[in-house]
Amino acid sequence: MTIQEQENEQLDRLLNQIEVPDFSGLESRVLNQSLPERQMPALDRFLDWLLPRENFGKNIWRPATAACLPLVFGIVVGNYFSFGFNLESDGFSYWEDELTMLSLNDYSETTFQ
Amino acid sequence: MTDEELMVAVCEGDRSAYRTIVNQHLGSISHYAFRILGNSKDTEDISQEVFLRLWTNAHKWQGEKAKLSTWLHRIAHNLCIDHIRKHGRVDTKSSFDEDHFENNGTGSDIEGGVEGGVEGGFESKSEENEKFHLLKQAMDQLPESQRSALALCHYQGFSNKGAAAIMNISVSAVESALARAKRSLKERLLTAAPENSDRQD
Repeated sequence: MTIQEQENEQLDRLLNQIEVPDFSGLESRVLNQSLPERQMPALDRFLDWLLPRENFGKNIWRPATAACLPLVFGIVVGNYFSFGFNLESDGFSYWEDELTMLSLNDYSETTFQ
Repeated sequence: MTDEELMVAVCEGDRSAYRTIVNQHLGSISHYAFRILGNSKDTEDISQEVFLRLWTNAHKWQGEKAKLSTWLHRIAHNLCIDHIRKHGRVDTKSSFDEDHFENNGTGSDIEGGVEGGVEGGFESKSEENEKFHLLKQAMDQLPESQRSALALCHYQGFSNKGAAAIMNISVSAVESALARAKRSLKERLLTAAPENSDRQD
């Protein structure tokens, strides 16, 4: 064994001799500390509320309401915005044009011949 | 139960799972904190804080990235470093009762004492004890990174890669810190040896 190996071995032996104390009361201290309510991420909290693991039957209205929300949203948005479609005025002008065109037809030559 | 199952249970607020994790990991966490901080009071405070963080941040643990022990050691490491930076140099006096050690010869029943006798048999017990004192002093003087690398790799049994993950540095930096720590300790012991022999003569 070389001198360096002996030195390394001695160092390791001395290092191994350094013991740590016995923290006898620490375990009970850690276990008995008051644990705060955990702050779950907002998305997880929302999903827990939406799809509760207990009493799902009683809380079925939650996912049902959530499922209806897009429809309600569509109705509300549709009432406020036309998105470029103006059905009433387009309809009137369409029928007026149609009547004008019909009045110009000569039915004696075509239909009743 | 696996670590993953335990952590899922902790995420759901299961206190018995929390208790199981504390039983499994408290020993190694408190030992690591003591190696870094060097005194019992701070060690207990930091250990308590580590497991409080485990409870509050359980959802942040990613089992595929790090083992639970690695994650807990990383929390402990960060808390220890913060503590040392806030409160200055570690007071190691309370961790090692030198008078008690000298009076009894061995320190197996005291904090940080020598356990058992000299296995090699080529040195007297007093010389070995002298070296032990020197080693303790030298370890206290090591920089944080070297002491952490030594504690993680030598005492806690982590690989260099594991220690690198805990310390958030590269593997080569861990190897370098470890080599420098051991070299520094050996130099301290070797330079002290002639002085001791002179003193004995």
